Amino acid sequence: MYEGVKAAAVHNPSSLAELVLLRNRLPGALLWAGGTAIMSKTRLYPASDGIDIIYLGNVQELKRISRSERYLEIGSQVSIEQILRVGQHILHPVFAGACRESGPYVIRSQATIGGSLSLEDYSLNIPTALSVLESQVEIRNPENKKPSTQWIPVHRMFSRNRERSRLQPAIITRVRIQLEEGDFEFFNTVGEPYLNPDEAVILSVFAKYNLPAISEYRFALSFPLYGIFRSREIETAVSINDLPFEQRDISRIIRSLREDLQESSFPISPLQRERACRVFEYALHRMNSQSIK
Amino acid sequence: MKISCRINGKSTVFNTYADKPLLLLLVEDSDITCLNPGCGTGNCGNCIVLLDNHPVLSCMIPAFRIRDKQITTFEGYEKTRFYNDIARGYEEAGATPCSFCYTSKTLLIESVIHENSAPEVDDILDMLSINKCSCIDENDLVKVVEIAVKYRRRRRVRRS
Ligand SMILES: Cc1cc2nc3c(=O)[nH]c(=O)nc-3n(C[C@H](O)[C@H](O)[C@H](O)COP(=O)(O)OP(=O)(O)OC[C@H]3O[C@@H](n4cnc5c(N)ncnc54)[C@H](O)[C@@H]3O)c2cc1C
Ligand code: FES
Repeated sequence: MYEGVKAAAVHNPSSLAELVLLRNRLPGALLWAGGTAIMSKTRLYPASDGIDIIYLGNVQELKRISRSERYLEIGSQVSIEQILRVGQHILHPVFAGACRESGPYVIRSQATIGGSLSLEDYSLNIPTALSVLESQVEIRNPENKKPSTQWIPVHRMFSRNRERSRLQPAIITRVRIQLEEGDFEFFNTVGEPYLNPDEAVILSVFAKYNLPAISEYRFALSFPLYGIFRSREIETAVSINDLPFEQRDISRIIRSLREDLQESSFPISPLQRERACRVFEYALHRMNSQSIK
Repeated sequence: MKISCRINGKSTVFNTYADKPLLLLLVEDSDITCLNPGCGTGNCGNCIVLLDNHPVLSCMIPAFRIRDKQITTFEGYEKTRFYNDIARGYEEAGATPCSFCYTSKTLLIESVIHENSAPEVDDILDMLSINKCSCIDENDLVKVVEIAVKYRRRRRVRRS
């Protein structure tokens, strides 16, 4: 049945230096992290062109989690389930929520944070949460003679899904998350982002307030097939209000969001637009009720 | 590529493609009969096996990841005494999974009680949610697990 199929060669680097050298030599090879996204595409096997595979699971530097006063740094090979075990008191609620909802346990314990940030055609839970937390990703570019390291804001990688392919053949090595605490954090998905990406919407919110004033309001709305939508204007439209919001303020904000989404270059469906507005409104009500408790 | 591993305790060597899914290795290249090629894309959750005692979707594991690992399929598991705890759970709760998902649901239940001696309802549903077959009501599934946990606890007490 599989005659003529050329076998894939698997490379198993055990250190970052080895990985970078290998990547430089094999820029077209497939980086293999948890393999959940790769294996869920049936077209992979049998690989007719005998692609090279670089397995990242043995690179020790990529499996570390470290914490300083200001940052949490997570190696790209840390699984989503391992992140959840770091503890709720360290993880931002918006990030913990995104991890918890990244599929069932069996998937979460195999899928890695690096893999979830490298999906070329999807922006799912984790990038949406990390985007609102202004997190950064460390990228190693092995193409240059002297391999270079660069920190890129997650939001820049996901503002349009297409732009991410420009990062190839770079390797994501670490994610840096600021530990600054929010007063209100929110994560929610509407629909099934992985199974029905053309209908789903993901919302992350991070806000700081000193009642009644809001000092900071950030949000990220992901439309999984197209990328992550953020708007400084809408963030300002929210933060100029005092808490608790009045219903007419909420309605005004939602009207602006609806218009912005309509004018944006994201080719989203009316269903996604409606879902985005409703979940955004729900988050505003949640923030309201939290502020008056 | 030559890959050696243990399947249900038996040493096995495959001469295969590195990226061939474990599910296909088991169905096509070994004598395992309890698995059927399902969706192959991680959606149905009907291809669960234990890899070094952890539940995985065998369609999501490439051959190169099983080198020197221990694979347990339902055929191997049902011969252990642990299986009795779950079988009694099904019997006492009056709820047995259908023939399509029986093996996967059973291995998932084993994983819940193996990893957590007092699982909460959320832990149970989270573990089992990978299997999409809805032949058993969620409440009944929780009941099955709670009964199995009770028998497992007794077994542990007797051993200690
Ligand atoms: C059944 C199922 C349900 C799911 N449900 C959800 C859900 O509800 N919500 C959600 O958000 N997600 C969901 N997912 C998606 C899941 O989050 C991704 O499949 C996972 O995060 C990918 O991680 P991985 O380590 O398995 O990546 P892999 O599959 O190994 O790799 C994915 C891509 O990233 C590249 N890559 C991997 N690591 C790196 C790196 N360090 N540097 C550069 N490139 C790299 C690979 O070459 C590949 O192209 C689901 C997936 C499945 C299979
Ligand atoms: S065959 Fe459907 S999940 Fe593996």
